[in-house]
Amino acid sequence: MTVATIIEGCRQGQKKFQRELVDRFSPQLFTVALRYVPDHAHAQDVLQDSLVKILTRIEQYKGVGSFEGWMYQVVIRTALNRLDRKWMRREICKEASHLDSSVEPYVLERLATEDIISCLSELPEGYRHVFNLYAVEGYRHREIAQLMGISEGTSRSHYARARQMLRAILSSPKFGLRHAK
Amino acid sequence: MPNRPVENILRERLGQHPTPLDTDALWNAVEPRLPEKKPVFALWKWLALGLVLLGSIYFFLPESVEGETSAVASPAPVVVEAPSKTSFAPAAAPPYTSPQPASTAATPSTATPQEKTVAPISTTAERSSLKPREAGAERAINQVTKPTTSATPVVVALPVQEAALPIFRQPAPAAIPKLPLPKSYEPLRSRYAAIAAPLPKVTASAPVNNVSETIRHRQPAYWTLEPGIALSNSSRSVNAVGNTPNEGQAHINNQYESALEAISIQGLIGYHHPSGLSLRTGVTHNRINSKVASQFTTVGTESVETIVAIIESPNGSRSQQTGIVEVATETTIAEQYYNSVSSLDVPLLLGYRFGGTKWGLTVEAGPSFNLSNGGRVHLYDGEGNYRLADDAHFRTRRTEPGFLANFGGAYNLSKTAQLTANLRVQGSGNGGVENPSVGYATRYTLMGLQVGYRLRF
Repeated sequence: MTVATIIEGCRQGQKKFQRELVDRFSPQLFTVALRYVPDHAHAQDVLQDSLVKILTRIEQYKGVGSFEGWMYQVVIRTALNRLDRKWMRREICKEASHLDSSVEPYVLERLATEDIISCLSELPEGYRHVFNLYAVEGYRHREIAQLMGISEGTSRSHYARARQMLRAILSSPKFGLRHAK
Repeated sequence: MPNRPVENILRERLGQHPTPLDTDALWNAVEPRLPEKKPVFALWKWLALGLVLLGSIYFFLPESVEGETSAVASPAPVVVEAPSKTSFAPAAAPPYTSPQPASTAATPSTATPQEKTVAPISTTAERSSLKPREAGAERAINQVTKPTTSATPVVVALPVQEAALPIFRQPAPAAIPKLPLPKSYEPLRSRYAAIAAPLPKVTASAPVNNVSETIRHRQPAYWTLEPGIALSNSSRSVNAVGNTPNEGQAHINNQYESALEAISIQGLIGYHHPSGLSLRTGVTHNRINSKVASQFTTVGTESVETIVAIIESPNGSRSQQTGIVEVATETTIAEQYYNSVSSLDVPLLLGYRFGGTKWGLTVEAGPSFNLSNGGRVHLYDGEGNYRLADDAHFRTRRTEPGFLANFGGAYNLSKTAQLTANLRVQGSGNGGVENPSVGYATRYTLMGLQVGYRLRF
């Protein structure tokens, strides 16, 4: 069954195609949700809400861009809207330590995907979202600013700090160095 | 740390990575929240479509209706001659129990000359004193014999198969057979004859022709062209797309942006039916202005050079010592920017005109379809910063239909020119003016005054 068939079936409200969409795409969408919320329970709630939105508003997908990308957007927006936005005004007191810049790619290559997700979840909330949106989803800072209601400069600074913190996290015995060795 | 490798690795590892989960349980949780059937077409769209269809049908009907009216209104003249004697014969029982004129009229009748001298039943008291069967007979007689201006009394008896025809098309009875009258009806004979006494003569149907003449003399259909301009107050509503309303940027925009005036220029061409109905369409251009403004206050310190000490010497002279001191400052930055949305729409208006020769009152409404959509917008981030949105911020065309309604009057300047003034209400469609990827949708409703100059041709 092609994606176009599933989309058309879902537009007509047919349960068979809706079930197929859930079966086929929910594992990837669950990964996306996990990157933005703190635990599995929250991620499952986000995924349920997102799937309801996707299935009830599928006519809003106009065929521009990939269908998966559109679904990811819905999941991301749903996740961000569930979060407490006070982090935008909080001062982040954690300071990243300066590390050897050559360690990160090497460590990342050897980390399991679940470990990478765990590393990212160690980042403060605001930094994590900006880092995910920029480094993983491929959004530009201008788009991130619009999406999160912050300035473009704030997005850039959050991303820079997130990278510094990620270096520290990857070099800690819990994650990076253990695997690098 | 080189940028791309790390980001590439993350995208490869995380981008399409599936995390196992129980899809059956997920589907069981999702399915009850899904609507059974998606709405195919909104009710108001059906209503609008129905109105337009009805109006269109009405436009094409008049010619045939007028033709039919003329045909009915000009029948061959039929004169039902009065018999030499006023006659009535309640010979059979059914005519008295049934109020139907046909069955009563179908009954042949007889009468005697002396019956014409009996006084007619004319008062309410007399009518109410009749028994039910008698009253039925009275009604039957009066219904069969329609009163006209003729003073000659007549009773028409028709065969059953012809009774359904209009009265003026029914042929005159060739002969009225005489039937024996039961003795039990003898006391009533005189009274029934009295009821029948004032029956008039049925004449030709000439006055009916006035109907078609009236139609022909009504105002003919005409076309109009009307340029106009409107100044409106705009109200805006912002909702997040796919999310809870008033979240995120939608909330920020609602908080800091306020709607201003809207200017509309339009040209409409219309077809106006003599009945008062009209169908108009054309092009409308709207420019909707809004303002985004904020005041951001920061508290800090500033280093200034000032006198820090005055030294007085024993001989009485004074000297001043200057130094750098920190002074508390409060800086307030107030900024405002003007945003605008422009749209080009094609309305389809079905209207109705009341009124006389000089003044008229018009009500019209209908859907409005967008041709192009755009604008210029500064967005506030909630932290004292503004940015100008790029070209992709607005949709190039809104696919959802809006609406336009006018309520106002027209003053006839001459036979071919009218001055119009309307209360004008226009709404954009549900989809909002922004591109869906922006994440929120802004809808506008304009309410204002419109003046126009209508040329008739």
